[in-house]
Amino acid sequence: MLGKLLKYEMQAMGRILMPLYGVLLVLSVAFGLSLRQSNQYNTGNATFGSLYGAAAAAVMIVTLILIIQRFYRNLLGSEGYLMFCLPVSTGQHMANKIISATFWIILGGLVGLLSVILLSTMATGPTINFAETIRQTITQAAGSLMQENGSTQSGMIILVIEGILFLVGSCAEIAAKLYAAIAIGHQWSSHRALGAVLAFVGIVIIEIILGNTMSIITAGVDDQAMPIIFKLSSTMMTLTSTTMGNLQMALGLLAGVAFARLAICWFISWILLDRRLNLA
Amino acid sequence: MAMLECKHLTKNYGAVCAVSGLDLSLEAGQIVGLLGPNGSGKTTLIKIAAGLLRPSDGSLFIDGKQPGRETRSIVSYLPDRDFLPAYMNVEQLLGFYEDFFADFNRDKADDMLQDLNLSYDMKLKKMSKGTKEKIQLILTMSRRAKVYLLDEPIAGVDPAARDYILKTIITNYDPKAMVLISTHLIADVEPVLDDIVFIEQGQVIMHDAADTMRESEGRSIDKLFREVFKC
Repeated sequence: MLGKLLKYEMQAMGRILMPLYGVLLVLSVAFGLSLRQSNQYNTGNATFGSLYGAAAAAVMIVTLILIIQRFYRNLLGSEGYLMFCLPVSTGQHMANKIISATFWIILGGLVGLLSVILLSTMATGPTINFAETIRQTITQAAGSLMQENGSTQSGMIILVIEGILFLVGSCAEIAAKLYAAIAIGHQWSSHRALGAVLAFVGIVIIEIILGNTMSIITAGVDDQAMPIIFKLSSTMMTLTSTTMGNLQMALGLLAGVAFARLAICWFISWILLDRRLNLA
Repeated sequence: MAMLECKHLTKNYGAVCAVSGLDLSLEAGQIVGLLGPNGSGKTTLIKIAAGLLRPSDGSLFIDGKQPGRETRSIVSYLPDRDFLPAYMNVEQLLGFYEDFFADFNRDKADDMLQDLNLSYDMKLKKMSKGTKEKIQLILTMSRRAKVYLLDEPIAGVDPAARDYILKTIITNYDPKAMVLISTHLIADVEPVLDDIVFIEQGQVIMHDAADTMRESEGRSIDKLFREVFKC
């Protein structure tokens, strides 16, 4: 059933986001070609630049709005009368929404990156291959990191996997946090949108307080890995001066924290939707 | 075993009590009219049975089970509002129902769509209120469910379509199933009802077989309703 839910969720999101991605990519090509013709400020450059900027902003804003709207309208709005009558568990509904939101956040980021590569390639012509430049830069950075830290290729692979897990966990956690706030707001008999906003602010404040408390506690612990988590998350300055082992532990713990937050927000939403569902 | 059973069912919305200690037992193989004035608790009772509301107190059982994932596969629910995704067309909606409900009968849905001359490629958001209601009813009635919960199923459709819908409900009659209809259009549905439940202020005030009620009171259910709930 989760696969079927995902099929319809992807269709519902994709029918709006895919055309938007197309517009962004077309505008990145148009802006790039416009820059190639004249790299000085003129009406054409300014127009395409503004349109490209607006399309990029639209992709981010519409993705966020759709993630919120699809949860609210599809589960807690009028469509909830259909969705909660399907022979599907609340956990499957939650998983569907979080997987879909994570997918579209990451895809939006990748399309944004692709648009920058297209724009740069179109602006400079075939003399510079930006996709190849990015590939080389990543390879060099990885090689440099391995040399400085004396790490092996397998160590790098673990680091990359941890990085992917951190990225996925963080995106999923953002969605789960939004959903938990909406589910809390829905417990109000009126002004539910206001309730959701206040709930979101409350969750963020609790996260900050817990984060700071943990930081203070762990700063005194005689464990090299723990302070690095906070250095990493705040500045990333210690990246090249740490050992690969510490990096792996820090990134792994960051991913773990993201998944722990995801689990807490998931539980809040699940308990409210499963045990206290009251569709208006 | 009763197909739908309520034991001291209570539902409060803050300080307002919508259903108050309601006891009710409905058997399979009948079409039941759930009748009452506005705000009497009809929709709340149906929503609890559909699993969309949690009772404040008491309990409700569908075929011996509390509303949940298991009962959703045997309950076909038609709410009193637009509930289908507006961006979908009829063909997509049929696919959706086929995907999720194992008891969905596509042939029956096709027959009803053709009888009512409804287009497959028309999106829901472009349909009139009445056409939308017909689509919703067709999807609901095309399932081979054990319990049909129909909340105001004919309120927004023209009289000709009303007759067709009521005929459809009777045609779908299954001795193992129960149809619960909540409506204000009592004169229209009266001929198809086997059992009548009058509800007021969240409590059952009368419950009997339609024929028995007509005989004992000496008037039609419609007239009886107007007298009992006279303002």
